[in-house]
Amino acid sequence: MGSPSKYQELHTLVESGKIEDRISRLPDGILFHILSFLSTKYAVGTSVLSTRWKYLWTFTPNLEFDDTMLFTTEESNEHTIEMCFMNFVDRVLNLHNMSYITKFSLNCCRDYDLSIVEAWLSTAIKKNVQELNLLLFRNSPIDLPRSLYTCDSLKVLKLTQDITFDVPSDAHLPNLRVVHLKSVLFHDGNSTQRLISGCPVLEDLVIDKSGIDDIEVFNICSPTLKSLTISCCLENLKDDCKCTFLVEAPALEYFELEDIELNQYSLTNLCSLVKAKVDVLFGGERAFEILQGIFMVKCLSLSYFMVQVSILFSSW
Amino acid sequence: MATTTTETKMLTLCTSDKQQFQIEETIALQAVTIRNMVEDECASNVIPLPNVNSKIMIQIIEYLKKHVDSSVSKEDMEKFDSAFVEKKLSEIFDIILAANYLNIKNLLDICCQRVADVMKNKSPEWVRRTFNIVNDFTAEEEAKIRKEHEWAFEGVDED
Repeated sequence: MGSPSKYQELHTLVESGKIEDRISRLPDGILFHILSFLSTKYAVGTSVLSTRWKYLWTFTPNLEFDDTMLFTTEESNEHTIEMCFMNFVDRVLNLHNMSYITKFSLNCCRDYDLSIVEAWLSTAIKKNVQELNLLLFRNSPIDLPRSLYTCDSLKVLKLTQDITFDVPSDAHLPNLRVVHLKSVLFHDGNSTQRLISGCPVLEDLVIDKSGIDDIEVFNICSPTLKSLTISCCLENLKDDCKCTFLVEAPALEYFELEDIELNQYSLTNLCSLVKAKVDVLFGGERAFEILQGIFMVKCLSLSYFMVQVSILFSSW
Repeated sequence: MATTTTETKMLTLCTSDKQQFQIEETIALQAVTIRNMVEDECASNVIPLPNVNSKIMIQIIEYLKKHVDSSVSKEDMEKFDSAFVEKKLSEIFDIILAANYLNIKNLLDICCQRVADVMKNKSPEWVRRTFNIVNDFTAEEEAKIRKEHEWAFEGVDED
């Protein structure tokens, strides 16, 4: 809080026109736009600047919450910090004045009550969220609300860490174009395929299978997919944990594969492929199969290991 | 190149201080407002832009000339953009108003981002001083807002 004399000083200077408060005179629409580039913590912080700013943040279409954005050193206060963050998200969602949310991001490194996280997500879904980014570190993985899988407005879905990816068979996401799944827990190998079946315009899929599960077959068959990235970089010593990826994507233009495990790949009908990047730590028949699947590609980037395999391949 | 230059369709933009700028149509049409005026044929050869002065117009043309060039790589364009917004805040506000009026989305975005970056992680006192915002809350009102959104004010830099 500024002292009364400082306030008077600035007030007099602004009143007399010696200095200008340009920003507060911008039209509301532009101020909403400026606030949309700020994390919600800072956007809400502007409410205290002056009466002009008190409710501007409630019209920003982007909501971004991150509970690591605290720099307090009192570690004993963990419970207070949790309560403080939960109250903040609740209040923001209550006061938010827009009927839609363009982008909703939630990064939580604390294990908030399941029902509370679900309530936040349900609010975002009810507000026709277009882009949903979740990064959740939890003691046990969270199930997403069922309503997410029939969310008409959703265009981008990015899930990271302790989230169970279990797509119901009636999933219908007519506008979903981008799906990134990193270190999530796949309920079963057909979850991705059920998602693809419910996504008529899916173009970009990233699967980072770094979680431990016992899935044997991963089905990725999509007529619309243009970009696919598969990454399996968990050093898994148990041989029986290996799985097979069945990929069939006639519209695929970009394919990236990084695998230090010994998974098996069956790549069929990749007839539109333009660019591929392959980095695997194995040779033999499994590597040959990958190269066979992408032989139509125009631009190929291989790791050193794969180059050795491909030299052999070309001499065939 | 001389022959193609003569064939290039030119537009004349007239700013609020009655300065005229002759620029290639392809460059000018990146501004949706100008494109609409040309498409609706409600503009003659000279397009009046009463909300933009010549000082700002020069900078906007510099931006548009760069962005019309499809040979510039994405990286170089980003470098250009971040250098372009390294201006005084008063100039950024002028460009924001002009970009909003002319409807040049990316220019509006990079300038709004620049303003947001200045505010990021800063205490309200610092933001008020930087932008000359007069705090017209009473001490009680301000304390109430701070209490209601406690987390928003945790750990921000004082300066």
